[in-house]
Amino acid sequence: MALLEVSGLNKRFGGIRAVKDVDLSVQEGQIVGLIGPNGSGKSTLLKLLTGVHKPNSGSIRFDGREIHNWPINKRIKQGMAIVFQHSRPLHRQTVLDNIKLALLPDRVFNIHYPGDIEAKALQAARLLGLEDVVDAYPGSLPFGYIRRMEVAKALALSPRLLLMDEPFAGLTPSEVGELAELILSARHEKQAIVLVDHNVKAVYSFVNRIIALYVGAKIADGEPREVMANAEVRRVFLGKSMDEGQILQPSMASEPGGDNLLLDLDIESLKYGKAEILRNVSIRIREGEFASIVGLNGAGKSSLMKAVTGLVNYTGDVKWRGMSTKRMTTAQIIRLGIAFAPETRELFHHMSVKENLEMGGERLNRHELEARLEDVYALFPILRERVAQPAYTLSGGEQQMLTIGRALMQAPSLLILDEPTLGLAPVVLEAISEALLKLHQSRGLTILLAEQNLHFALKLSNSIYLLDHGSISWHGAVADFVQEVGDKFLV
Amino acid sequence: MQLFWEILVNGFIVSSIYALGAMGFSLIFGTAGILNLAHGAYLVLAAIVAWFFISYFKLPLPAGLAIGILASVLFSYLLFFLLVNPIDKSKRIPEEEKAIFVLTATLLWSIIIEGMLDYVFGSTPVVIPPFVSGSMHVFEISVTYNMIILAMISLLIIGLLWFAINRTRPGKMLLAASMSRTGVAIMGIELKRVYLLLWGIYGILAGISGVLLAAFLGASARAAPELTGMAFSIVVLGGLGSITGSFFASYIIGYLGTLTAYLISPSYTPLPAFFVLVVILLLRPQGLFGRF
Amino acid sequence: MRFSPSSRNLLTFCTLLLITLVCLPWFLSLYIAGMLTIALYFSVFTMSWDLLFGYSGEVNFGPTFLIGIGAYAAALLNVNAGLPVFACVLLGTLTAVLAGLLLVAPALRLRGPYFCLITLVSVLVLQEFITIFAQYTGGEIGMTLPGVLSASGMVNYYLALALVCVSAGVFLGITSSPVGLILQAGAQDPVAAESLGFNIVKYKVLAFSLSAFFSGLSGAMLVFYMGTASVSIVVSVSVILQIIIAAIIGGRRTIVGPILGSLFIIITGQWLQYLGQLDYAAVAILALIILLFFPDGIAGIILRRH
Repeated sequence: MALLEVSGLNKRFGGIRAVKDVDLSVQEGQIVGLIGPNGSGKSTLLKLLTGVHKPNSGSIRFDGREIHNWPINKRIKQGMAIVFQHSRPLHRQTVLDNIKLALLPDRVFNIHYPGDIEAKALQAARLLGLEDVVDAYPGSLPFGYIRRMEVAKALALSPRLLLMDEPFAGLTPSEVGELAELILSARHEKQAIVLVDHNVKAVYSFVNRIIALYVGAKIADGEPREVMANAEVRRVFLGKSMDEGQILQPSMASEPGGDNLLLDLDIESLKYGKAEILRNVSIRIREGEFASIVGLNGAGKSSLMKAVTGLVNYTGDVKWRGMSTKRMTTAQIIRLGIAFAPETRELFHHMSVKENLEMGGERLNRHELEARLEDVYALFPILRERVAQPAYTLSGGEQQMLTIGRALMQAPSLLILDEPTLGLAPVVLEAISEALLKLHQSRGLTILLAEQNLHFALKLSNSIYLLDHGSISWHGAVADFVQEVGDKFLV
Repeated sequence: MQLFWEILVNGFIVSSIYALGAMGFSLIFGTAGILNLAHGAYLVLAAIVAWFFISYFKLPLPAGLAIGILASVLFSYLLFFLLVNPIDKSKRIPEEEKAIFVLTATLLWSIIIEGMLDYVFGSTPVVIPPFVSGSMHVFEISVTYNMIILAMISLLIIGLLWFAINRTRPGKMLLAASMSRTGVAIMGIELKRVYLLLWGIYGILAGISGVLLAAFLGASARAAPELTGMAFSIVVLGGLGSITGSFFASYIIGYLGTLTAYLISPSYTPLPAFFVLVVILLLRPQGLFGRF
Repeated sequence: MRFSPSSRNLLTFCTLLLITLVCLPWFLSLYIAGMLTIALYFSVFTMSWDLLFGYSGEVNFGPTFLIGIGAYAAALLNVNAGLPVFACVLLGTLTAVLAGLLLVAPALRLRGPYFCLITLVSVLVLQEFITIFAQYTGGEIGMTLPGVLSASGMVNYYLALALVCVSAGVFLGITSSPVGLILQAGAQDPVAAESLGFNIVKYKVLAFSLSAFFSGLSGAMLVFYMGTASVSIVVSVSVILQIIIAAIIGGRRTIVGPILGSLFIIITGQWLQYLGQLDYAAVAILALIILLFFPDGIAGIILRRH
């Protein structure tokens, strides 16, 4: 009998089916990686397993018991353990106290610490290489140690199944290797592990089985090499299979921009708390250029876009036409002529399509506003049909068009797009790609695109930056990218 | 039968004023995520300042009311600049505790306003003189023109607010901010501007409902916590952050209070509101109407 | 057991504080000792509040619901049923715990501001009830109690000090025990704490019950010391305010900090009395300044210097 047996699992959020009829089983001792592009439902699936979310239908059997409705703490007592991506440790207690917490029984009248808890906690700390920092406070430690502490806590529970959400996120490549090794050596060989991570490379070398998901459904399940060679998996990660030769020829051969430098970006470091997301990233964008930042999810693309628009803090500087934007508010940066279509879209959901567009043209007079609206409708005719509908009633593709349209209402000099293809059907993708091409070629709009869909990015851009683990590992013209890098960066 | 009509008419008037009173509270929560525990103090502040200028300086009624409302706007900005904004920007207060700090700060702020009002103007309840005199007979009962005017003004202001939010640029900016603050920032609109507008509108709304309430029921500094509690009950019943929900909830709370006042005793008036609140919190914390 | 530098600090600090409090009345006038007695009862309120705020992460805006129920239940039993003081105090305390568990504790299940709201409203409801049943409770004026704890000021002082020691002992014991660790973990990150196998609500209810027990007990003893039970002493919003301010000034999340805060606030309260009605406003302004500029309070500054 399998340790974990999931069948017909479904989860809906509002109208969106995040997980669709997923079946899977995990045997004792297996290490399973759940992968998939953003929005594939892998995190939701993990949350259903941990009990953070409850499924709408389907069954989760753990060790022969039906647990889909159990609260988290009951699952833990049954032999599960969880490592969350963002957990807040106890900052007023030492690392050792944090680990002791995991070893305490769930009894309200437990006034004394068990006598052997100190030894057990030290043992758990040693397994994860924390013996030198047991007396330190988590706040004083680098992020890699905090992640290890979280794993030590989970393993201290001696679970039969360990669930990990993005255990490698925010770690440097060397830290990723260290952590993977420590986990493998610390775990008991009968313990099973299920993990989700954007870092496909790390998952690939860590697991002995991969399950790939796409828009909520399972599309492949098996040996890592098999799964990563699967044509459909490659398609969902890269847009289209690299074997379909001709698509690698960029459809436009225009020169990569003029001499006029618009954006001059030098980010030394960008951190969320202690996790370093970007390191020494430099990007220059000339007027008329279409530049794409490609890379897997979790590589830091969105953070980079947020840094440009002043939504997150960083060290280094971003210059616009030679002027530093570091001290500016987001609104000031936008008013320089930089329009932003974020990954999360940030639409005004209960406002109509027209009202959303009008918010984009907030600084225009009536006349200009009408002209600009006409422009956007010409680019995305479907928006004209939906003009009075509230934004939340639109399909994903229409919402994306609205997001881009709203940005265009500002008549920008630079348009920044973050993952516009996320979770969209091929037809819609085509429409968006045509619109962007038109904007760039016939109107000379400068565009900065952050994209996981390599096919989409290659087809449109002049220049490519490959972002890998928070650093630019390659940059140059599209044709060179095809020859030198191709799809080899995936694993 | 006469009792029935009295409850119906009085309940409607009181509910309409409550609805206006709850608007500002709901707006500030929906847009800035702040539960303003000083809300009652703002209502009382506007009422007492207006009363003071009318009865001591013999200012004409509209001028007095305007000064009262102005006082409320002034204190609204003070709250934003002295407390809400500094706590939001503070690096020494942990991010996850900021909501609690703001909540505690508004409670302290409420006590400061109440204490000052008590000190400067005394603790006797004040009544704003009627806007118009005379009364009319309908449905076997007599209704003063003043009461009708009060209810009409309340509904008119609510209508204006609805219009401003849904039909004017600054209003839409507020509405948009309640849906996505990042969205507003990437439209090139300074969030600071949105907040200035928000607290200004809040001050005006609280001020107007304060003077209307005082013109109908009277007001005293001691009543501030009770008024805050009332606004809470309404907003929780309607669903935290939902302006439409608050509007309908006002009529439920208003009529419950009026029924209690007429059928049991006027001194029990606030009780049903609190009971409803406790029951709602225990059974259906998302409110009767949910969000939007 | 190893002691961290901060817990050694705490130990020294507690010992010094205790010695000072034991010796103080020998040097002071009866009037000042009486004032300190009130401050001691008050510090039990504040510590109970800090247990919830600092450890279980719940903001109780209605500590006087628990205090008031304890005090009024004890007083009513004494006046109407003529029970001995000891029995009244005991029954009053139990009533406070029971009322808290029935009316307020269910909100512990909910995330968000609901617990704050329901606690605030519970006080308003209690206040209404006291006014409505004025023929039993004395309404605004309050009621005079036939029973007293002791006629001697010294005995009263040491009784109050004993209560402070017992409650501080229990609170410090709980907060430094495994339960305290689990409570803090639940306050910090409830999902993470659940994922270590803890049923967090269980611990929150325990902390709430303890808080209710000592609030009720101290409220009941206070009215028998004062000889009267009235809204302004044990229920009103200004009492809540003083409790919150005392905890914040003293240093939240330290248990002993609130004792300092309470002594401070009762003494400055006396000193500020010449301001008349402005005294609460003045204290509130002071608290706001501390809240904004010294969010860790007095004890926070003393104890956290490793």
